[in-house]
Amino acid sequence: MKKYKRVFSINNDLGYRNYTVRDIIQLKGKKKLTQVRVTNAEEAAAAEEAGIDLLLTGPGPEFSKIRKAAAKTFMTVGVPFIQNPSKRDATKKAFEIIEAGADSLMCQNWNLDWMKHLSKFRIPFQSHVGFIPRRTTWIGSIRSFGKKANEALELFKDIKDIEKTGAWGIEVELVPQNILAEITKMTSLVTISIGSGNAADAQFLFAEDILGQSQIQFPRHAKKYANFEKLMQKIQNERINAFREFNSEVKKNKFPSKKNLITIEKKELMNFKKYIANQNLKG
Amino acid sequence: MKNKYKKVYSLAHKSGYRNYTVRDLLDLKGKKKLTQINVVSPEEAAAAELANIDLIITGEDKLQEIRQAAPNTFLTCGIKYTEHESKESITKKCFELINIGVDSIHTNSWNVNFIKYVSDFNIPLQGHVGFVPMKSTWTGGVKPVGKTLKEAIKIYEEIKELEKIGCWAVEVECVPADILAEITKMTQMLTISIGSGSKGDVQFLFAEDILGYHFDSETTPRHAKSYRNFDKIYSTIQTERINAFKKFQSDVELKKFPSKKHSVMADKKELIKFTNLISNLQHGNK
Repeated sequence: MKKYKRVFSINNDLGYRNYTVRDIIQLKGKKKLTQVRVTNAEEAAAAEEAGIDLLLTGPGPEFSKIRKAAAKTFMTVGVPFIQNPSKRDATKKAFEIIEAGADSLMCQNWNLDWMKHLSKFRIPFQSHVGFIPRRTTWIGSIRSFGKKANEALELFKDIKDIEKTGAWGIEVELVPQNILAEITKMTSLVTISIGSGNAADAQFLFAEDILGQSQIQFPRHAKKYANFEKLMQKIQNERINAFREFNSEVKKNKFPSKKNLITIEKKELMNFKKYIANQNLKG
Repeated sequence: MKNKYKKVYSLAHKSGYRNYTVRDLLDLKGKKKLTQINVVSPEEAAAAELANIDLIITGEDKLQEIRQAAPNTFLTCGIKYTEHESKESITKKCFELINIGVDSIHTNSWNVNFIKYVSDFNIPLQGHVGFVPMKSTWTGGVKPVGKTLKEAIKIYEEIKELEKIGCWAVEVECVPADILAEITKMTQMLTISIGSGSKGDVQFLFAEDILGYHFDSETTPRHAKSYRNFDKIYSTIQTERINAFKKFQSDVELKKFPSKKHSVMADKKELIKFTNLISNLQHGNK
């Protein structure tokens, strides 16, 4: 049976978790971890049940359900940078998410100064380097990052800058496996690979890709472990057929039947009919 | 192919296609039995449209997605009445929903003066009588309403009042079938039966009951019928999810994932150049 440890979360709730941030940092180089990005409560519950080590999600309206569904798994939540135009706004949003039960924040695309500021509050966060979707325009296309030595050096410097802000982890996206292998040895950050090979400290994938219901064209670096697209279509057909049967039973007067009815005593019904007849005369 | 839906303007003056207008529905009273389903997700809404369900009803939560998923089906939306302390506030909310594309508003437990006020804007309204969950403390809890003459008269009077205000329909919940049969003949509004027998103009059920998932209770309510067992289907799917995540977890632990085809490599030459650059950098720092 999987063991959870008693912890206080950052918002001071007493509960259980699989890891504290300190555990994760200490496991660097000792144990390979997994991280899955989930978007709903069902995925979160399934991930916890499956023993996934770390979860990542967004701060949307589903978050409180997701936190409840996977109450014991170390959970990182993205803080959108584009809605938070100042250090103060970003910190406020970060506090809001912490209050809702996050164990760590994802500071993707954040200004480095803001991350340093956040770190002064002792709030654990991870960041993101390599191919960053929102920064595609700076590197020219959707492509791997760091195949040339100069670009790899740039990546190394990015990671070192983020290490200095006080982050605990770094998502490394679409970077050559042998480059990340070198960098992982040279940083205290927990490196989290997505599309960057198998030499990182943690392996990250999207739940939608694992389940085979990707919202975008299936990425080369991912692997499908189920075919949910097909499964969901099958379920939708069940829904349609159930509604069709209901529709047709109503139209054929098969539903509702006697057992679905509420009856009334004959005397009360007769009195009501009399009352209505009187209303008609008056009307 | 001829479009089976008719071209309409929505209340917000957007052109589109619908299965019915309010006028069509009123004209069908006594001629055609209709169905209405309460949906809570775009999947349910899309399924209802494909199954030719006549009317759908929903709450504010996922209205936009639901409207998009069933763009051609006459859609009624309920409003949380406890969020609106004035008729102006509730009217504003109605306008908001109309702009999203609803065809009608469900008035549920509203103050009757608010219903009148909104009706003056010619917004199609559907009322609710009989057992109304939010008002059930007045009728004695979760039980049928209208089994005594006094209660039946009260229902009749409420319905006449809604008719006078100008509602096009009224949901009649858990009322004896014979009472609804009489009332249906006595009103121009369409009566929408849920748990009130087969003599309403419209038969209404919740999608969750038709599909057989039980959020709140162990069983399907007496008046409903489950055509599937989605509780079971969902639990099967959840097991599929867990198994997929378990395989991923064990693949990573066993170093089976990611494999070569999931990764990119830097050329050996570039890698050596990179390690040299870094070692220079580190010496420079010292």
